Amino acid sequence: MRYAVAVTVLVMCFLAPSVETQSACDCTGKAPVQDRRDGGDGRPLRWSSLMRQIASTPEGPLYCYERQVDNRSDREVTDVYWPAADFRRAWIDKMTPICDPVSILGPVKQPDPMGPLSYNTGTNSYATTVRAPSTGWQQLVMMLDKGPAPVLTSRMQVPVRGAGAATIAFTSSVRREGATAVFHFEIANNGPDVRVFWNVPIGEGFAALEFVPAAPQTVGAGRPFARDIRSTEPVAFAVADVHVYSREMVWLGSGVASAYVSLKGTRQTPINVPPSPPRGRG
Amino acid sequence: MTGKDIVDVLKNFVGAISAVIAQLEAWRGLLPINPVIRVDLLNVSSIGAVICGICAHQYTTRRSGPVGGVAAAIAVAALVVVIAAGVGGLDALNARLVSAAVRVSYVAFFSALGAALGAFTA
Repeated sequence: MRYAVAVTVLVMCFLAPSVETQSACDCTGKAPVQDRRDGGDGRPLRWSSLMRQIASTPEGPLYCYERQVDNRSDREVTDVYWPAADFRRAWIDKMTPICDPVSILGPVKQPDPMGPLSYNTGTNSYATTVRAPSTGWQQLVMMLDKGPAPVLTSRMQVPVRGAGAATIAFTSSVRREGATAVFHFEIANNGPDVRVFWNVPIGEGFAALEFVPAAPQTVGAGRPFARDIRSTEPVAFAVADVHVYSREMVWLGSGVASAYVSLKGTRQTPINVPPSPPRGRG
Repeated sequence: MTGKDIVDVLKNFVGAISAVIAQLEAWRGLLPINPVIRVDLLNVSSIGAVICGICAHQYTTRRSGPVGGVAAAIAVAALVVVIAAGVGGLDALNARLVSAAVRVSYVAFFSALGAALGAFTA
């Protein structure tokens, strides 16, 4: 028996390094860091903004933009507000990093946008410089040609009161079958149950997605959401806003996740969310 | 309608002065608060200031009572909370509790200021 246990442990030790692990702050877990901006003194926060090129497409490079805020203090930090990076959280638990990586098509904004990362209720802030897409963080819709479309992945970490943090992964892909495009959408979460509204522009046939502002999808560990949509409308790349709620529909956080959508789709109006931060800084 | 009548009607909306002060505060960043609190609550505070001004003016016109004084006291207390939190005076307390208190106080300050103006012009 002891030999069996020892052999098992040895085999696991041998296999462990080969198992590909993906951090919460990474779109693919494969692309090298291309450019990084970071700062903060760890009292209480450290921040980083970086990008990785994860694919090349006929429409331009596909970059993964990562925005991370790490609370290194032994106290909770509230009202984390970083408009230049489109990052906002009601609170971050002590000794906890929170990260949003998102895949966005197109060139990088030059020069790098700058702006404060504010936290807590007073005027405390860090001056930051971030890597950002040239078109901004939201509302981008870009028509795609008939070429291959890489899988889009985005993630979002949201603290859930008394239950740790939910790490929500969004995956979108598209394949063509003649004149029809088959869109695939997936939402997964390895943390506590949350409700997610992914504001994908709704085109012909997309009603079957059931992305409805008043009834967001519930996702949790072992409860992923996946759906295929068939549409004959032109395919586009879009950066869609995402809103995360508790099971009681209390807003927990907002972010963005990219998706393949219908070019003719229209966005909906989310509910129970704070007013949008001012855009265009930097 | 005489000029006095017009002035009496306009006095109902004196709380709008507080709403203008709220907008001015947001523009110039006069209070020591996280800008996200302004983003969230500026409109609510401005509307609250006007509505409280109308209500306080109507109440004080028809009945007697220390509405203006009470409103002014609330405005001062709310301002003290906002400034105390802004300069780190409440750091020893629970962070989420302080966040909620500052948000309530931000709205209460402008709304109570509007009410005080409405009451004092009755």
